Amino acid sequence: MSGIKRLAVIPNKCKGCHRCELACSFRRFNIHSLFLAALHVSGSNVDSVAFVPSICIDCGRCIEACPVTGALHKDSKLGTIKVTKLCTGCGECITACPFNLIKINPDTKRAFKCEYCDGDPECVKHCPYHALVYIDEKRTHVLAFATRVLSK
Amino acid sequence: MNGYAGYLLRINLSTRSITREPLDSKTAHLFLGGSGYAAKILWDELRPGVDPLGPSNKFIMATGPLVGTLCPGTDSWVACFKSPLTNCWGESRSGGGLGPELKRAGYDFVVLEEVSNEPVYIWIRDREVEIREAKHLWGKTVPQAERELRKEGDRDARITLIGPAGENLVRFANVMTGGRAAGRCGAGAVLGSKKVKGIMVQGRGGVRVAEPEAFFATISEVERIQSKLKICSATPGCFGAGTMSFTGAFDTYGAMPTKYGASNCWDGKGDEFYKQIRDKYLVKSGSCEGCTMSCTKYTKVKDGKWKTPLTHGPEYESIASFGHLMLNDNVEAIIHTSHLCDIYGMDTISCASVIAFSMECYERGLISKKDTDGMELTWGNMDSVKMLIESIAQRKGIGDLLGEGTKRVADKIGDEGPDIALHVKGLDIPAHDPRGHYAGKAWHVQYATGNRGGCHIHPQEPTLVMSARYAQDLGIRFSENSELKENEFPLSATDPLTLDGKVDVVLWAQNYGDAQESIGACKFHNYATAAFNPETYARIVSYTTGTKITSKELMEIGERVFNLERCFNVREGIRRKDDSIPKRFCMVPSFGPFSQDSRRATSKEELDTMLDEYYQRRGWENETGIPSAQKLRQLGLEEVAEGLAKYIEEI
Repeated sequence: MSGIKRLAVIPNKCKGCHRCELACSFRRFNIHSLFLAALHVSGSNVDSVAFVPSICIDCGRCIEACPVTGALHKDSKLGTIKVTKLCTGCGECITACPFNLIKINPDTKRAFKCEYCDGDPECVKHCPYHALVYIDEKRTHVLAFATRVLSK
Repeated sequence: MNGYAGYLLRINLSTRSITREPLDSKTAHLFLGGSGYAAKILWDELRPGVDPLGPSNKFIMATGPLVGTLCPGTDSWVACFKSPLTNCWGESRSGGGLGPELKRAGYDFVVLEEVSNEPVYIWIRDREVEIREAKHLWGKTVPQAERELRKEGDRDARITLIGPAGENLVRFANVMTGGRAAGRCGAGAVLGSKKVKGIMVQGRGGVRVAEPEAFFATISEVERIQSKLKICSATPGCFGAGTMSFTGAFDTYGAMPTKYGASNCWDGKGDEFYKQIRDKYLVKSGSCEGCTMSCTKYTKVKDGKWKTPLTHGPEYESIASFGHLMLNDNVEAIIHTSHLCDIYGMDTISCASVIAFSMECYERGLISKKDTDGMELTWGNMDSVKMLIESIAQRKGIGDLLGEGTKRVADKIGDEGPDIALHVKGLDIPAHDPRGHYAGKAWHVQYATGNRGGCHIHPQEPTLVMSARYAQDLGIRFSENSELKENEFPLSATDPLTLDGKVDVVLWAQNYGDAQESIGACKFHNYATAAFNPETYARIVSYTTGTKITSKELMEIGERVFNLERCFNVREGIRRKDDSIPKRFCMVPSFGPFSQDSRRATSKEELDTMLDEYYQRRGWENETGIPSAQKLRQLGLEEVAEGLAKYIEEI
């Protein structure tokens, strides 16, 4: 069975090292920057130690907001929304994204977002704590269980 | 400049001028960055003999070329200054995310000069730099001030702060960054004297490397080896519970100074402490930026007398200092006192050490209840310790005296005080007792010659080199041949109780350690020697900066930095007489399983033999411990050699 794979997070395993962000921006732009990563880990060291990685869940609000037909489209093979060359960089999707996970590429001036690195996500490979996984869509319910167990 | 942000930010707190200077590529080539580059700045710009807490001292925040990259363990920033505790070279490294953020904002170094009239904090967002008023933060503890600042700025900004101890010029005050401490040498007091409460940084740029593909391949390789070695805490390796897991082993082989150094172990208490913390109080782990190790541990004491909110640590040194050193076996009290030090902004090692010293003096009758404001300073009396920590941070009552640090307290008490005190050059000895430690007598050389005083990790732990298992990966061989080749040490060096090869070990470790300080690498990754050794560091640095260096050149950079720091110290009056070791560490432990073993003692002759060899191998003058002009020229430090010669002529 080879269904569509999804990127998923096991929040309790995240230790806030930001390696996923560094790897993401480095493989994309050859630069280590948290600002140019397509995912984001938030959390502070005061009062709480809940580190929360936010990843694109392909909610589709960017497509809804996009004024250019075809600039954003859902890739049926990868199951994620992709940015095409038709993008004008108008920024409507950026305003629409509830998680601030779609950004402007400084080189091409087009939008960029997580596209699962064409099926081989770098963030997953560089997470030392296995908090990010790339698994079959049908198996993501296991994660909810795993998270519940780990939080105990 | 690849690997570097390329700029140095200079802030004059008195005139409020803020300048952005390009980095000097020649200095960057000679020292790479970090504490090496900072040492050059301080050597050039600081007059000898300035008051460390006066306007002439400078405070440098330094990062290295690897900081902010994917290379594991490079979330570093080093504070460099003249230390108010030792009156000589002061440096203190910290994680916490400030270093990478500083580089993303576009600065490799921040130099703070002069003093401000009123409390301020420095706000940096990329090219925008402001000196902002901090009256409302003054007097607040570190978490309180951080909460206030978060309200004013970006939630994800990285903040470094001093606590009340730094404000009140406690000589061992630290600087806290996201729960991590630049603990030693009194960095916090220097910031406090400048009236700088903290620095808040946000950077939206990034760090580029010269050869991305080769860099990435090397990092992926390193990651693979590390995960195989199971040093990552996601796997049940030795770092699963952080440094606190060392307490069991260290107590067993006698490396934990107990009862202020009277003995070197305490009846298996170390293992007990570790198990209690792990099972009862450990909440979860965290990590510095870009790190694969997650040595950050969060603990909490839910209720009772020692109720403590979620806090960082306690790590090994804090457990040993607030446990063994003052004969306290209450784990909750250890967690609580270490938390108090964190929120007031004090070094746990020096703070616990000066308290344990006063307990020793109290027992001997050198100080009485009259001096302690009626406090019972008996061994393990943690209620008094708690009160003392608070009074030290506020510099009230006896805390005012103790806030001066062990050396000054010992000198004031006089009598047998200086003989008991455990410090080198004024810096308190951490919880690594040479009498039972795996590296044994190498510690004597390490403690005596360290540029910042008695320290276990700066520049490097000699233990690393002495294990045959690690040594092989590091490019070191142990041989029984009498004629040794390069990077070959006598086999007997691995025996902790002999003098053989100890100098070789320390020399190698010191050079390696200072090279790491200069590239911005954390030394916790050292024990994954297969992943990180001079060879891999040289490769990673080459790919990052685009300038090819070999492992030999990397070690030479370390040697250069070490010598420059020594020159700085010479100019501040440090000579061979100051390269001493506390008397207690040369005596057989007075109780415990090692108390019958005379081999644990070290005579003065033995120390002198090791030091003679050390100076000769370093190329320093034997009588004085001053680096020779020839050695300095050989290391490419011509200007420093001239400057030093001129200084010596003047005195």
